[in-house]
Amino acid sequence: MKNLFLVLLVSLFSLGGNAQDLIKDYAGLLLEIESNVSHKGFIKSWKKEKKAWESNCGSASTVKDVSKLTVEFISKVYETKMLKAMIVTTENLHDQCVALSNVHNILKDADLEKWGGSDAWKEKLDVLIKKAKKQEEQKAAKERALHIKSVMEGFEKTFKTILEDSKKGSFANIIEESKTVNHYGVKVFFKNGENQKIVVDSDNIYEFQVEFNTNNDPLLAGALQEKILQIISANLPEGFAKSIKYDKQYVKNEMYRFEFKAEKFVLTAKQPSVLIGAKKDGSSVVLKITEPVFKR
Amino acid sequence: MLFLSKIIKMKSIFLLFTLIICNSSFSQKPELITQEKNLGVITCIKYSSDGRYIASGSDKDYKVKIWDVQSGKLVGTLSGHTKFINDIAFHPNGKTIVSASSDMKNYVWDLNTWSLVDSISYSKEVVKFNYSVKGDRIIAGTTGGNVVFWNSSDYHTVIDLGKAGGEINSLLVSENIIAASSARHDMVIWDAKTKRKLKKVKPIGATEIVGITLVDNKLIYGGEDGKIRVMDLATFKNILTFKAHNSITTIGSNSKRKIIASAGNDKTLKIWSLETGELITTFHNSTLNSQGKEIDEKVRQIIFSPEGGMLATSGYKTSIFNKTRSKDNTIKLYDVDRRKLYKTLKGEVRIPDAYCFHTTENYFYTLNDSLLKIWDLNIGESVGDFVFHERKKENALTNEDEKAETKTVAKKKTLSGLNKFKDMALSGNVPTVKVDPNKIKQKTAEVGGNISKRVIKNKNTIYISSKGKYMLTKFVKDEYRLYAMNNGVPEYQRYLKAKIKGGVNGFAMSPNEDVIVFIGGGENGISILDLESGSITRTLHSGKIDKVLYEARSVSFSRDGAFMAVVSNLGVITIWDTSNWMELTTVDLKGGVRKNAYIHFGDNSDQLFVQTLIGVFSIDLKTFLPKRMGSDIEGNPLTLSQPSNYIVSQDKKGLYFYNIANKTKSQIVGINVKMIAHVEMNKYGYVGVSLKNGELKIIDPETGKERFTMVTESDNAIFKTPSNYYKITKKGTDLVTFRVGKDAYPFEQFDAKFNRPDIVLKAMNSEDEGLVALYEKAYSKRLKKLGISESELSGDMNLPTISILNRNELPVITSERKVILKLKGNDENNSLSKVNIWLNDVPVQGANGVKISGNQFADDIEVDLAAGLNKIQVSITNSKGGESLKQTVEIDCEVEVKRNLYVISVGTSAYKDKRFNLNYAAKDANDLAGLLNESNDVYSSIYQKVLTDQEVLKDNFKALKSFLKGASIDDVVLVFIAGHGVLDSEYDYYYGTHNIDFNNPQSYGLKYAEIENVLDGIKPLRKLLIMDTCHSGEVEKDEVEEAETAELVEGDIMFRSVGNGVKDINEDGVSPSKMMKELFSDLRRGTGTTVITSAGGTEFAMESAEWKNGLFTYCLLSGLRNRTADINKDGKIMLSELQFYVTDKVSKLSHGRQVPTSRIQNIALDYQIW
Repeated sequence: MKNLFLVLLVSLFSLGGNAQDLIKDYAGLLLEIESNVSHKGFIKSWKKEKKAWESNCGSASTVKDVSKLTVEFISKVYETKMLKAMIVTTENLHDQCVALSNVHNILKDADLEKWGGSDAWKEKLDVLIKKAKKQEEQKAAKERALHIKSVMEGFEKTFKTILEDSKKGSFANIIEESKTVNHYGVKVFFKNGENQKIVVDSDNIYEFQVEFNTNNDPLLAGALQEKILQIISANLPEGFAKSIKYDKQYVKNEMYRFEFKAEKFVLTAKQPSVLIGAKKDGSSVVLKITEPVFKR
Repeated sequence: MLFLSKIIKMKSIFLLFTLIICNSSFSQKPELITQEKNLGVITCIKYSSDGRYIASGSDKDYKVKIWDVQSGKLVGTLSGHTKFINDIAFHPNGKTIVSASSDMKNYVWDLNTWSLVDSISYSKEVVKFNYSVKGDRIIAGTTGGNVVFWNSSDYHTVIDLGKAGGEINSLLVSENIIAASSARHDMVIWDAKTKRKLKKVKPIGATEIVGITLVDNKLIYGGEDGKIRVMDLATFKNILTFKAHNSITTIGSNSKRKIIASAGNDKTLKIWSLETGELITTFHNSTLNSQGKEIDEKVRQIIFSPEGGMLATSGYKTSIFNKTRSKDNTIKLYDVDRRKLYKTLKGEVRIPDAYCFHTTENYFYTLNDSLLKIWDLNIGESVGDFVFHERKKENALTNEDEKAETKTVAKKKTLSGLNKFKDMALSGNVPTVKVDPNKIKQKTAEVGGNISKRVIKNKNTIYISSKGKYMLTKFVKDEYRLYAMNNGVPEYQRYLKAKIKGGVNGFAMSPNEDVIVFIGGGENGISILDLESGSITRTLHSGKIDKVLYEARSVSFSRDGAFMAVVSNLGVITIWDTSNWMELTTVDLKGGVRKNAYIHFGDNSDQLFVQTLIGVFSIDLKTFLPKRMGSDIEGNPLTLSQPSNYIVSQDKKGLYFYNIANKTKSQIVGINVKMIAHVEMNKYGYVGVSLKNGELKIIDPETGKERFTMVTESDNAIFKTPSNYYKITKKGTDLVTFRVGKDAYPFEQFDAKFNRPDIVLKAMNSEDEGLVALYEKAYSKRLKKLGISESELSGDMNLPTISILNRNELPVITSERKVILKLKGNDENNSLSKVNIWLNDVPVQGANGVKISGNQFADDIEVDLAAGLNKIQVSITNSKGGESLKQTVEIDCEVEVKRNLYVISVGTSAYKDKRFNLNYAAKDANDLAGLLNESNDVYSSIYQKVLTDQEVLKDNFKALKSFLKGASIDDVVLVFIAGHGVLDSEYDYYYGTHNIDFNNPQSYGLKYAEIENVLDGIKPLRKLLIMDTCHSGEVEKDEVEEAETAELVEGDIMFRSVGNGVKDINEDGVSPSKMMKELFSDLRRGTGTTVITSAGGTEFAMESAEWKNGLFTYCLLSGLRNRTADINKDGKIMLSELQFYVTDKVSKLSHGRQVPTSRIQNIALDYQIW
């Protein structure tokens, strides 16, 4: 829920001054193309509707508005199914701009031949496409930053608690009584973590698992993983080292394992280990904290 | 008109080729040298053995500088040392110089190529250097006290003479002995031939020997006890001791004159007779600084010129920690005979305290104290001044102050001819080519965005916001002031109060210019102010650790303004979303960050670059993950006021440009990074690097190559390209000299080729293409006028050579009235045709020189000297018109003279053909003669010849030459003519004599050349011809066409012209020839006469009962009579003042229909007329 709130918040802010300017630019281009397409191509009723349509272009303030106006325009020219099929209402300005570009491409040469500024219009649209793309990227970047920020809130404290508890054997303090098949519930949670549980394997080794949703965004997954790696590195006692574990579900087929490095396995086995990986599809970052193999 | 071109050709044919010296028949090409100031204490000075040059080294700029004594100009610098210069020594042959530096390097430089040719390795630091008399050895004194030498044929085998105590402070090398002293130790004397130690002189008590010198067989040494001791080297006994000062700082001597100079802690310089020990004279070592404050310093160095007539010194002060410093930083030349300061070698440039580029206009601002100078780089001119008001106690300026500030703004100089042309160009009166926007956009598209600046304490700084709306100032002991930019000129808005405890570390203005963010430490360490209101709208902090707040060290906005990033002292970067000021993320680089650290967003706002103590990081703004950049960035990145696609960084070795987009690097070579004062970015993405010596270099970061360099001095500036092309204000020629090999030449010898404002403006990205085109035409016009083709300027041509054999024997100052020049010239390929000699740009043997023949020339020529400065130039011309490089000597003739004035006044009102009678021309001649006959303090006697009406006949006029034969070299000759000026069918000018046939003016009219001929070959240098007739100015034949027959009378006004008139093809009067006159010095010398004409070549001269004179004469008379022509009110009416006055006055009274002009001008002479 909190994620959703943040996304909404970002969306609202990112549609501030800069976004408004882009929408105005789009509306301007829409008006320009309409006024330069041969009127022969329009259906008769357009003459009556045009004034209101122009007025709406002037007051458009959202992507949805201009998207709707574009559809309206297209539906009055040619009335071809192909054109209509290409234009669907969208809330993404970049997609909307690409769609407008396609409209321009599909218009008949004959209907554009009196328009000397067709190429200049296309150049302006290309600039707008770039700007819109940049805006989308920035919006995504801001979302990523806020998402990571929300995940990392209290992360370090929780991690330290769970790690400490793992050393005490079977997560004595944070484990919940109720067991479902092969895993237990937990009393301590990572904020914004999902599927948090303690799994018991066939060798009776207890492992804390959590997934952090990364909205199918591999960039977000990578960045979040990097942040978590920094916290893990900073909070593991001296002697722990990072190594790579092969797993094809994860980016680069790799997870990162932190374990105590010692010449004798018995010393390694008496310490917990930590495993982290970012899913290839960008869906989540998975963190696993395993209790010492030699627990008692 | 044909005659005019013939005259021009005749006069020019030899002097024109003077300008062709840039041809490649010379082994070296001319190099344009701009002047530089000395930085730091001048640690060493030496005379070359011929006395023509002085070399100096200093403790700040690490350069060896070579000064031309005659012109007082810097002719070259030798760069390569990385620490201060300890000592230098000229080879006796003058071709090489050695330098020793505290960087432990000793270099040998070739003065012909100005390059490093060898180095002398030694394990100890050399502090004193000298060549042996024959030049076969280099003797050095070291910090360890050793005296060593090398054979100059082999710099790598060192011979150690032994020790002379501690660090050597004085080293004497003569034919027979070598002597060295060191602080509080012995002075040791060696036999220069056998290397045997001859004598050890113990210091007297705690007295330190501070200088050793030699005259004949007498060794002179000065002590800290203030005494000079003279030792006879035959007996090693002191034969004379006398007290010179309380304590001596240095001494010098000259064998030829048998004199000693000593300097003391009392800041005096004394000259003594060696034979009697008597004091000859005392100089107080002080100068006035730019604020008129007297600076007195102790003398650190004394060197005599080889002849002993001149003494060069440098000064210093000692601080409480025994550190030396200097505020003067000049080399003073004293005239020993006349006992006065003769010249100061300082490099006539003004180093700005601060500078910045305008972010949207091609403007450039320099700040000196409170004076802001606005330079328009589209035209290469200063277009206005602005004086910042002093800070008030209450830290706010009142409304009155604001008004006062506004009044001080001198917006575009409307009187400037250049701006007049520019305005015309802009108004469409001349073809103004529209700038191809793509050319500019290619570059401008890459810049723009926020400005972010580190705060440099104790230095005045100025910044302009990214869209050019605001200027921000930070003066020492002042708060931030905000100015709104109005047409490039600042207008005071308000003080900006950041309210950050502990002070501001840096600031950034948002790209859309709505807010400014100041950063520092504390809870409100990030303070965001609204620029419109000046109020704080929000405060932030850059995080905390264990309740301890980070201190914000640097701040930057992304180019689109979406993000703001702040880096803290612990290397934690915080990034905010500026749309809502929500903190987006923090990135911990885990590396400490110093104040003023580099933080900048890259192009497209997708990367952030941050400098920490453990290296430079790039942060991907999609993931906010940092990545160390490793060796991509060399040295420290520099914070520029404008964002760029380049990261500019600097280390000890150089200045680097890293292209963020394509990850390529370039480096600028030839800049000593220790000399860099400030680095900025201009609107085209070029990097401006200001150097501590006053130069500003504009560099293309893509190639690392220089585009142009700017040097300023008050309103004057020179802009030059690496190919030596320059644009210079007409009065800025002091900033320029040329060098061929090691010799300096005045600017005019190369001006025709290299004075190319059109080329320079292109390098400066001038957006005024119309102006550039006009400049190009003016340049072509000038070449045409000088009779030179462009191919001649660039093509090969074998030119003769000439030398002044006795140059070294010629005095710099003399009271003699004559000198003899021993000249030798030759031409291997062509026979010689004439030798030319000019004195202050006046051909002393007539405009046609003296005819000679054969391939060789050798003669002794006697030249009379005028009182004051004599610039004597000689050249030789071959049969094909090729002229040698001019050899120049300057001699100051110090004699008191009272000048005589010779006046020839000619006026014709009554003509044989009475139809064309005038009313006032004869009266003009009489009135002027009458006025000039009045007693005047300027002249001893005034001699006059007046011809009017029937007396004005061709033969009578020509006969006046004999009247001028009695005039002497210092006298002033003024020839005035008034009457009709007539053009023939070829547009050639004739003065209307009484019996002129107006239908056929050639028969009895006076040609222009015949008028000027009266002044050719006479002795006086000061020659002035004033013409009040129609068409008296030059007619540019290719810029005029025939006009309808002019009316002679227009109401009350009568015109002094007959027959058809001419009119400019360029209807608005904007012609290349007018532009040429505005821009370039007239290099034609002709007879050396300055010719002022009452009207332009196409204009008519008026007369009227209103003025009871010709208009021009009326203004001339009133200017002289009422002394209104004394523009600067100093009691003297100078020639230049008179020219300006009559031009301005006549133009005003005639409403621009009649504009006086100069046909030709002697640029070397300006003198008092009245």
